[in-house]
Amino acid sequence: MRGDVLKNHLELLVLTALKAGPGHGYSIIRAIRDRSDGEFKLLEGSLYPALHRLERDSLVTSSWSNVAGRKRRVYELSGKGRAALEQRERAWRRFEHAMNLVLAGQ
Amino acid sequence: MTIDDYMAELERELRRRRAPRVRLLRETEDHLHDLCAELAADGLGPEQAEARAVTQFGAAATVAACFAEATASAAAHRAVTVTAAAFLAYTGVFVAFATAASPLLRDFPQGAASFMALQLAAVALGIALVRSMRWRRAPAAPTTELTAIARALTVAGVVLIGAAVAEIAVAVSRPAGVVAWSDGRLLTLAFAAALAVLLLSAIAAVRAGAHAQAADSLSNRHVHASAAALLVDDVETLLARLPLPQVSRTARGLLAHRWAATIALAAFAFVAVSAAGVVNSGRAGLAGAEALAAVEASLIVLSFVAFGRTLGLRDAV
Repeated sequence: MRGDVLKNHLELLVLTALKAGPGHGYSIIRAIRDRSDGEFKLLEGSLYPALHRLERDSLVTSSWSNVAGRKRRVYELSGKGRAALEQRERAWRRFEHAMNLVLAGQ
Repeated sequence: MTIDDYMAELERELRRRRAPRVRLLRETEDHLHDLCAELAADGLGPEQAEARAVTQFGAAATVAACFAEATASAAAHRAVTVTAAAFLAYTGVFVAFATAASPLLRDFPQGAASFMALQLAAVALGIALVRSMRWRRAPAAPTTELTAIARALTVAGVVLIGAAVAEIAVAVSRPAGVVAWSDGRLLTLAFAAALAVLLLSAIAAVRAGAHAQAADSLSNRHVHASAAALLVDDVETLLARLPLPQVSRTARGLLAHRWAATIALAAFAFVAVSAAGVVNSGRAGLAGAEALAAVEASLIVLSFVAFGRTLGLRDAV
């Protein structure tokens, strides 16, 4: 899928990937790719500005942790992030429903 | 390209854009090594795996620009919050001065500079707030908007600092013995505290401007609209979220005819200040009130002439 289309939904994708549990940048990218059946191939470098922004907005928290013997920055969904995810998910469902109605009317 | 070459280039690109580097570089390096290991496990040779990994991560200039724009956006939003706090602090001190201070302290010209500066700062801050609110939930605002926000905040900060300095100058130039230090001690300290907050807000505005400029000069998203055109778009976008079509139409009309709107505002201010003077002092005070009203109306027009472009209210000719 085109990168500029995905870019507008990157935060929703990241928050959704973190819903399952904490993860570092690389594992988040993998989770998005795997859950989309390989369809969503992000420009991987665009993930970190998004993660840092989500952290500034207190939607995720992060800390250095040892993962498989290596020190990694691990991100976790905050309470505020969980609420934001639910709200953005609902907005997306409404959009998807409306879009389907329009496309079905062609 | 090897991972080491890529890291060196990314560091250079981030440095050119004044973006924070340490954490992003560390995370990028980890990411690239993970990706490289995965690609090698899929059968690629070491050199091919490194080359593919850096390609998949994205061009260093693009990643750095994306990060710098997000950083510049955050700096601008933070500066708006700090300046709004400084504005409220100064307004609080001014209101305390105007209502509770000894009449000896309130003699003209004490307070006049603050009164004028607060009005101009309110307009500048309002413009910055509108621009900031429009983009607060976006990953990054266009750099033209960020530059306009920083300029508006700088205008607000500079006029308020100028007013605070003028108040202090007037206070200390009073003949000794007219007003006892103890009469104005709390108020003077409050003005000094407000001045300290204003200096902090000015630093935040300057930092936001520097980030915006660094991101703008090497932006990966060029916005060709002017700051004035973007302001119209911001106002319309924000008003579209409210169920107030009449307000939307009025705001659009005012922004489409900025000179006429400024003259109308000046005329309204003239009538309002004159009326307030007559209400307070009766018909005997009309001449003084009209002089004050003329100053107020002139300053509105002059401010539009002097600061209209800096604030992004009108385009450069």
